[in-house]
Amino acid sequence: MRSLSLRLRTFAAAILALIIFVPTTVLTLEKAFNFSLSQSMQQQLKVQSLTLISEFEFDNGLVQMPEQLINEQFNLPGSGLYAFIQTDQTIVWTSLSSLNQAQLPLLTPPAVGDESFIDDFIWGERFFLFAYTAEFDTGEGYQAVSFFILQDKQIFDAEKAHFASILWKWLGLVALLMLVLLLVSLNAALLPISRLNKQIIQAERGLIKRIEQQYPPELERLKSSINHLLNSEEQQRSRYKNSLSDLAHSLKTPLTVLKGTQNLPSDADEPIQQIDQLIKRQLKRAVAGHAMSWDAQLQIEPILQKLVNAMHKVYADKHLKIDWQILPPEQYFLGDVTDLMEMLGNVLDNACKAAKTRVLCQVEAMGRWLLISVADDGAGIPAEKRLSLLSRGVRLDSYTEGQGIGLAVVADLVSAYQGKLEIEQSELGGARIIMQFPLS
Amino acid sequence: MRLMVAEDDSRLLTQLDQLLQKNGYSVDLADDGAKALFLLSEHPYDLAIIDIGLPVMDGFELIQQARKKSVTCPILILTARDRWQEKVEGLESGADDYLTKPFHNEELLARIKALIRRAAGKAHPLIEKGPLTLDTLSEEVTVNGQHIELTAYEYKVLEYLLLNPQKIVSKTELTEHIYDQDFDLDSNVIEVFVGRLRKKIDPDGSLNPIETLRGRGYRINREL
Repeated sequence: MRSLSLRLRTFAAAILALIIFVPTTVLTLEKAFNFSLSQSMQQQLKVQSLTLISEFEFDNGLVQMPEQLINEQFNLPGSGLYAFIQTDQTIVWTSLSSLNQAQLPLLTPPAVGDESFIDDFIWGERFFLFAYTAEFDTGEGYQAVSFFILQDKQIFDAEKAHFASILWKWLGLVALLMLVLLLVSLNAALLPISRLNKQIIQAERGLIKRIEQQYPPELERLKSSINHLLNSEEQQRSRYKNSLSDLAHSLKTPLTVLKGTQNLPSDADEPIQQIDQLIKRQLKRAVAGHAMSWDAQLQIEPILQKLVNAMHKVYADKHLKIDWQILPPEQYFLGDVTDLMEMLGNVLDNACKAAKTRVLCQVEAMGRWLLISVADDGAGIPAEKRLSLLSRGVRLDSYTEGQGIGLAVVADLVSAYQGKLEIEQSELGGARIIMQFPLS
Repeated sequence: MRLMVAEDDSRLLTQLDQLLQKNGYSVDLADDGAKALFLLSEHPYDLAIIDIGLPVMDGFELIQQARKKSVTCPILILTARDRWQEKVEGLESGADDYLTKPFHNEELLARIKALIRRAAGKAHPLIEKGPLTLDTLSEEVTVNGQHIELTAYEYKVLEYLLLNPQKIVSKTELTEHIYDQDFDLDSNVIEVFVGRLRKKIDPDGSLNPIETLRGRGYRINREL
């Protein structure tokens, strides 16, 4: 299963946290607000009831209340604040504000000296209900009188809804702000990783040899591990190549002595030749491309220039004209410098051996392929021989010195790079060897 | 022709010494890079054969140091390391050609002759001067198409003079190029070789192929 990116993981975690956090916060705050509002309402209604009690009088056993109460809300019909006085299961007084209201059902009053508060009392609409029972001296004894005050909940509900709407808006805004901040800080936190990633890609492409930028302490260890890996890979590759080169050296010097020995039977010459070719080809195959973990981008022109200079020196007597065309001029080869030199060197060497006066090397990028061709004006390679030179299954000892072993090594190397090798008739008259390599 | 061979394998060194001496070359031997550099800076060689894998100082460094010390003789690299990267490195450090081990003795001799010829500005194995023709490959000398029998030393003297036709070659220089370093130098021997050469090439004294410049040396007659 494909692993999610760090950015996506962190973002998903943040969204999840916000989805849980914002509604929970809203609910908690709403609850706290309602409770506080309800408490405050209870206190207000208690004060109202005390005002009523202070205005209440018994006169000859009859309830006496002023026509206009101090709180105007009690005097205005439909104001939302209503008061009732009840004695002996009878409503003995109602405030002017309840003029158009339905008859209040008989309520169970609290015990004398007690108060009760109902925060959701249904009387047509929804009301807060506060009740208090006090005892009054009627002259003939004590009479329990209950005061009921009802406050319409509409205003309260509107206030609650308003609060909830503000709360949702602001918390939504805060959540959005938090997301933006999170994205910004996430980007800032992931920036070094992205830089490291870019440098690793550059190292992969061979544009840099080491990861050198400064990184946060958490990534420094990774950076030094990658550099260590790159170092040891390079050293190992170099050790491997040198060991094989030393092996070739230690095998070939005694072989040279053997070959130069006087009075050696003439039929010993062929096996010696075969041993030599086996060493040449197998050791080159062993180092070809395999040890390479990351490709390096190699500029072709400087390498070609060196090889052409070498060819001019080696084939000075032939006065060859060796030209090259590279399109585009900065064209690169993805791979190891030793391998490129080996392939180009062998093909150029063959061409110089075969050429009469001219050798032409052309390098061009065609679609996803890099084409390197070397043509000469020599005798060419007969069509029937071309296939056998290119087939990789051909027995090693069937290669002839010069044309054969060089091309066999080239064929092995080209194949190690998933490339193709072809032989054509050149426009110059001789052979044209074409090496094709995938560009990516 | 005087050659210097630097090779660390004693068996191969002996073999090369024998091969080259048998083919008429004077040979000085070195089994490490430092000795080879000393020989190259002390003696005027016609060619140096240098193995890349030398102890003390490797072949690449030896060639670079020798070229810095104005050693101009052609250098043939002998190497078992046959990767092009190493060949190019060797040629860039100042060598003129390379030969990978193992090699045929004939190929080595052909390369030596070609390099000496090339250094003398002669691309072809035949050196012609008037009626005189010298084939550096077959080591044959003819005058007006007539074959002349020469001893190895007489051939060496004539070849050296013909490869340096514009130059006055002193007896010391001739001696150095014909004999090994251990040989006791005696300039009278050169006079004897030149005298014999004159008699064989020009028995009636009409050509005067080798001029004597008194107190300075010998030169091939420019009017031939």
